[in-house]
Amino acid sequence: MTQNHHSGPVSQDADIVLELRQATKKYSGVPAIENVDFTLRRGEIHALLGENGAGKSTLTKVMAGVVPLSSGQMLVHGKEVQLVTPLQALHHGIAMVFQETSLVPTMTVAQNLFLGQEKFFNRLRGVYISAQQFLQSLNFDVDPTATVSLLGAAKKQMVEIARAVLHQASIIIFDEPTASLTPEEKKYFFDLVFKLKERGVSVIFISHALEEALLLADRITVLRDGHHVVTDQKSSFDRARVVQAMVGRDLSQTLYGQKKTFVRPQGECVLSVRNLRMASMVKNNSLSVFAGQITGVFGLIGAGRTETFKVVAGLIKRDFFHGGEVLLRGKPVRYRVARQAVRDGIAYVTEDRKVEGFFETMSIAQNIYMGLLGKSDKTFGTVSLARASAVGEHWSRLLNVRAISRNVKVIELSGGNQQKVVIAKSLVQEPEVIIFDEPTRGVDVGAIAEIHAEINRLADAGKAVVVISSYLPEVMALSDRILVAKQGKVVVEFSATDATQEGIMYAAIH
Amino acid sequence: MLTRLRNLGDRWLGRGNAAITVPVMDGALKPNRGLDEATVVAELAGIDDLASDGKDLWLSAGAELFRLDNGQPVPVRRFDADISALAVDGKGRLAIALAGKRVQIVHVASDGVATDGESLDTVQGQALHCVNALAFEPDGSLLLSDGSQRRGPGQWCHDLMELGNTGRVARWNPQRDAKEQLASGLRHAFGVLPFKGGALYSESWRHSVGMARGRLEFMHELPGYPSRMSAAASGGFWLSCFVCRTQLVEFVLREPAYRKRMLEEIDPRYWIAPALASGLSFLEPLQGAGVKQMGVLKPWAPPRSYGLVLRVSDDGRILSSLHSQVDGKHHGITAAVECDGALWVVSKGSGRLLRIDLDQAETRV
Repeated sequence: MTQNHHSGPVSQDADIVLELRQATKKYSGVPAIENVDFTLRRGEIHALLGENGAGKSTLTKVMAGVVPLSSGQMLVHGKEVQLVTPLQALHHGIAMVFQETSLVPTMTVAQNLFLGQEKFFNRLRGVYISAQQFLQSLNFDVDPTATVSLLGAAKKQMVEIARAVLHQASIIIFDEPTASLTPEEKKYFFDLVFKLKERGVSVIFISHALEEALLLADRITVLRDGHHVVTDQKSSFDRARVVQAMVGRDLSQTLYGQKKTFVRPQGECVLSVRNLRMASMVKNNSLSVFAGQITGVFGLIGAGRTETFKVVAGLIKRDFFHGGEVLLRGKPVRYRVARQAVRDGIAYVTEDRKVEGFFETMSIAQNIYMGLLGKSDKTFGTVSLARASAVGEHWSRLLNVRAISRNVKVIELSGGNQQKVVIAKSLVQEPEVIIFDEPTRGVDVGAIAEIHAEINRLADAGKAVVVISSYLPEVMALSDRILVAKQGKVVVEFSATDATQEGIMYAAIH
Repeated sequence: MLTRLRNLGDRWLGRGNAAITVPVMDGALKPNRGLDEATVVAELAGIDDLASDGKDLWLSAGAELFRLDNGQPVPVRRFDADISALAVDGKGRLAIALAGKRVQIVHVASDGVATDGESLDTVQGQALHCVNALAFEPDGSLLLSDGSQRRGPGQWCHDLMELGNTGRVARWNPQRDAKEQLASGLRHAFGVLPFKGGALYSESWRHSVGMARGRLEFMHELPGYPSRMSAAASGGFWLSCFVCRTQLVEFVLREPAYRKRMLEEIDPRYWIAPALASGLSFLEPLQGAGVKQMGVLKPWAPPRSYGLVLRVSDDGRILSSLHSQVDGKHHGITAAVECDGALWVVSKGSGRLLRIDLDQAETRV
């Protein structure tokens, strides 16, 4: 059961600087947040928690004027406002610091700070002096003459924060501010947040790290599936309560049904990743994938899951020095391009279908046929339109791709059908190892069931299937074994029959 | 020349043979506490090997031979040298390897009286040096693994650090006194098993199990150093791994100069090398995450010693496994055999005989 807590008569509370009432935001009719009530007090640090897709980012984007509300009210300092641009939000003292900073990398720190506020007769030395004084007043140890591209993630965050304060922001929203920070940089950041609080600035921050929320926040709000679950003082939360609030979905009401009681027997170890390293994203990661099983890989965004399997599929490269090993059927492989992996029977179904998954102006059949061409070992060959049509027809029928005609462009299909085309494009290559990265992201409920059925069919046919998903019920419903990744490596393995949502989430964030 | 250049490049880039990676323990190898939770039947200093004919369970500890009677080991006979391997054929014959240098057949009458029979001390003109596993074949022949021609059974760690490759597997028919060398040049043969009309052997330093004829690899890239095997009643076999692989040891094994000095100057107890038991002295080397925090050793720390038994199918797949992790106590598993509805396991590291119900042992994943 969900519960709503309100701390007193919110609209009359003079301390409240920002309030949302029955806030709803819909994308193409699908609600990302629905009837959410939220309050932020002066000088308060407010943590916003929830699973991926819970609606945290949408809620903060609404507050920052990045997207407008579909319905509901937003009040800033007790007055109702309608924000449609970030500039409007800034005028109301609301600034948002995104996970990926919005600084101009080729400019200096000082130039970035005063960007858009330059005087007509601008002296660079004067800008540097002003920036220096301002940064010192915030106790930020950043050189104003340094080029932003040369700064570390924490310093960039500092500049971003300084810019927000410079714009007289009284409400600053941080979207996963610590995701790219080292432990030392995180400590820096926490000090900054406390300093902002002392200055009377209200802070909202989104974080997947429960420890941070429990350490920093005065109050915590948990969202789930676009709905407000609970808001309460930090002192009334512990890890277990937060996790329960984050994942406490009633399974019987979801698509994903009951807990798995049967696990497919483990076949041959087809793929083995050993001590893989890839920049700061994958850190000494090791895992195995077995034939005839679905290996689910769960983790929060930034856990290095996608990067690990993109290295496996030859889409990105591991570290040049001591990058670890990838063994396919016991033999080390190192792919320079994805085509080599495709020929070895590895298919990767991308999480970002619009950018990497299909050619949007080509037809369904042409897209599927492209998959076949990708596996072809001929340097010179002919493209058979008749064969493309036949292959497209066959796979469209097999995966139940619904379209007005076979010649329709893929961009004109619904998300679910687009995803089926992307899957068909990989399956036409007859792979032995199929890696599905967020296979049902942005896909309607009906298509989800069909895609899940196809994934199960592949495992039943003896293929080694990997499902990377940030949606816990999906991982639990599909997988025979579940690997939980955190900070660039797999940290725990669960059998599907032993796994619990709380256990998996705890492993992913603890 | 090209191979040399490639090896040099691999060494510089940390790739290929120089990748220094170890197989991950997941899937059927997912760690559990199966060995730590096993019943401790007895504590015997120097306990090493087990043999069973399905009815009786025999075990060796130092120079003494024991038989399990009413769940407790009863001394049967003391030999003049340590017993390094043991086998029983179910027809009143025991084969016993003494100090790794001699294999003695012992006939045990129904009244329990034991008399010495044939013995073997050379194969193909070469003296036995490190006989560490024995197994009877259905026709009465005896399979034996001779781990090394340079180091005895107690010096396996020296053999590892010297990258020993003088192991061999042989067959001996005591009735006809026919001897046959089945495989040689092995990197520490340690375990034999009659299998599908041929002979399986485990090759510890290659982390693999192979078929003697043609030296076909049956299992490879194991996460530990395999040792003795025993048949499982429901098909396949049990394989014990006496120590596990770590990146640190793999790295040391690639550094000949370092190893040479270590062998010359350091007490073997403190080598950067695997061990049958650990945590006995603060002087022992630790690897990265193995450092104790507030007196607690993390179970997933890189192991200096470890307990691992694998259940392997007929086609070489690992079906399940039993573990004693770094913070466990039953390390250095040198033998595991089925008898009387249970799996009996020797933890040489802790000097204990363990018993696990067969149902539990089979399903532990």
